[in-house]
Amino acid sequence: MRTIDQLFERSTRSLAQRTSRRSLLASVGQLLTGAVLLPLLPIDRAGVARAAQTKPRANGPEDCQYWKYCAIDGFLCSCCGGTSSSCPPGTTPSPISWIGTCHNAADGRDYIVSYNDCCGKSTCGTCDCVRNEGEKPIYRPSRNNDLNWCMANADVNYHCTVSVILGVAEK
Amino acid sequence: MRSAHLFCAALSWPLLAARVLAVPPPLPVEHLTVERLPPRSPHWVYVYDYAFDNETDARVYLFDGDSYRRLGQIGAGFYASINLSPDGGTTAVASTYFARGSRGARTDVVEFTDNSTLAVTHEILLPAKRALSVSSLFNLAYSDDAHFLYAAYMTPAASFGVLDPAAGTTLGEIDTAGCVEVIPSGHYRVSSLCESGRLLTITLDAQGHETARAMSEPFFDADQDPVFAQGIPTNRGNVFLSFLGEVHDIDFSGAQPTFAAPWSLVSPAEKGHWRPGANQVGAVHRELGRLYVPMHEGGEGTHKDGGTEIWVYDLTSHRRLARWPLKGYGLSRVTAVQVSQDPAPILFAATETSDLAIFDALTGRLRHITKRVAQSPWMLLNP
Amino acid sequence: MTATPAGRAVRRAGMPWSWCTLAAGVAGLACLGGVLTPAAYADEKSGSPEGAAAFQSNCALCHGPAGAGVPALAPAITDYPARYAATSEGRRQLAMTVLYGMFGEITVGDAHFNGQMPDLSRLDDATLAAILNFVVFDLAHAPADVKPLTAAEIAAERAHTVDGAAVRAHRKSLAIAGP
Repeated sequence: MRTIDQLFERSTRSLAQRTSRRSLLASVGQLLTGAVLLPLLPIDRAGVARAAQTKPRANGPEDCQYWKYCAIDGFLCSCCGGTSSSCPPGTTPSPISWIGTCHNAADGRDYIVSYNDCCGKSTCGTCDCVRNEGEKPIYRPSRNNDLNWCMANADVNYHCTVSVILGVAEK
Repeated sequence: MRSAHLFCAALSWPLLAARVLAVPPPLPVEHLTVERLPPRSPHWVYVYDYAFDNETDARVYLFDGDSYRRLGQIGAGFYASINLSPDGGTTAVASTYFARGSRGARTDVVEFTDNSTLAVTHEILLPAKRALSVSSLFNLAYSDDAHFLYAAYMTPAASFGVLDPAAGTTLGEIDTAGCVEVIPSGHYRVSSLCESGRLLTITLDAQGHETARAMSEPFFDADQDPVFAQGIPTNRGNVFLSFLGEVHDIDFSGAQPTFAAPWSLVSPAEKGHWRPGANQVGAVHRELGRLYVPMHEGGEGTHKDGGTEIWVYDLTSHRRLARWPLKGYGLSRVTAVQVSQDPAPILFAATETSDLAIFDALTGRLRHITKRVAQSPWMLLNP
Repeated sequence: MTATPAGRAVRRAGMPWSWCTLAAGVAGLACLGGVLTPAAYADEKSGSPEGAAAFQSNCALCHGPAGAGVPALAPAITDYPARYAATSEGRRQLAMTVLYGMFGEITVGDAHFNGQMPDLSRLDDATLAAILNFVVFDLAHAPADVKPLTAAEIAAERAHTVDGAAVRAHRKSLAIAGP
């Protein structure tokens, strides 16, 4: 799972990309089983089940201190059926978001991270995480995490927040 | 054996009679009533429970700071904006509701609750564009005479609605060019904070239509030292605190807002190290001119970390009057403060673990801790 | 993902349209009732009703229903898009911007922005072209000799992915003089 996570977390595309994680796994699954795929992701669920049995990896995507979450506010979609960059099933990503600039100690770079909300269901209620590096009050909305960024969705109820790498921050 | 029975019966009768005589009469039948609130006390506080784990069911608890009891509740929906009328008689809640609870057709509405009965009296429907943000006192605000109610909108383009709370109608909408919040700033004047560091002030006529607008000079630098968006009302205007602890005191009593020279909550040695931080970052006793601020030690990015101490200032002399450490009381960090406005004031301090501490606001003596006063007590209001 | 701006500008071919809105930027009028310049002049092109509707649904919530922008949030798009549409690299910039978004500090006129424009790649090529034509012709009033953007131009940019920083760098390279 980690490899697939890395593949998509390094992507600089947004959530709405054509080669989605879900479809990649679906293709792989079809190759392996030759069967019609259910909407469930067998590999994904096994991974989630394993994670539930063991402690979340320290500083991993279910940990508030994960490097990408430096300006996040809300519930981590990683704990809610999504990942750090994908929304849980049945929710809708917000088209607008705030951004943060987070340092990745693993490669020494600063990245611009987009914090989109996943909308259309009530709060996930687990793994709440509020960090405020570079966060600004609401008169600078692009850097503010107090706003419900589901505000422009058809259904504005807030469920959880993802963190999507947009690219490397300019020095 | 008959005589034995008679004997036992004769023996038991007095005992039985004694028992009957000792049992009190049955309790009277009760009549179910609705409790009436006692006369309003200045030591009441309205605790806004943001209900972070279930945001569609926020509420306001009315809490008595003398008896430490909850007196009642007002519903507050989803991402509510809340304020009290100037006379304290009404709680206005602007909120959002979904037809199916967690989803479905959206309704934005302002609901008015009579604070002597805690019953909803009427509502005003709003366009579906309320500013959905963690609340401050400036997402919904009354004009000084309660003739208007201003409701902040954000789509994310910013504007506000002008409402007539008595008639229950919307009068119009005013664009604020990206500046945010509705800060009452004089008779039929509303100010908004701008990213440029300026204050936009809009003047309305008696019908709620804009007659003039003006931009102040920049009074803060959003890059170097932003001000917290939530100001704190004073006798003459508002105080805005900055992330590094500068105090910007704005006087709204004149023809246009005037900005006193900023002064600092912290000494040069403390600056950058001790900072204000909270969801509700300060309280002012308006008559005494005292400012109460939750302070913590931390660096950049800690502006929402709660306070490990409460620092008290005189707004006129700018002197720090006291530092009240919270460590010895077993309290976690303070995330919201409010002070009663009477001559024997008490300070309410809600913590990150949802306790409510009550201090004597003059001496700092801890009076009481109510455990878990709410799920997410992030804003405290009193008239 | 529909926004609900206060005024909905519904474009009907050949008919003037009016709105009571969040009006232009700093001038900020409370309620502007009036008629936008009708686009049925013989020497001007205009976007389609579909492009107008898609713009209102996806773009107006930040750029405003008339593209006037919002300080600190989103720039006005009533000028540069017409200039971009007149050159081949500028047209690529338009397509790249809607496909991949942009982030980083930019200047539009004398206004500075340092946020992010989200990407709209979830919309198909035809819709993106229609949105751009609405912006270029109805909002930025490009002259008649400017050709409308086509779905094929969008598809060409969709074929090679770039990130929002590269979009900004490309914008810089265009060096189109502002107002």
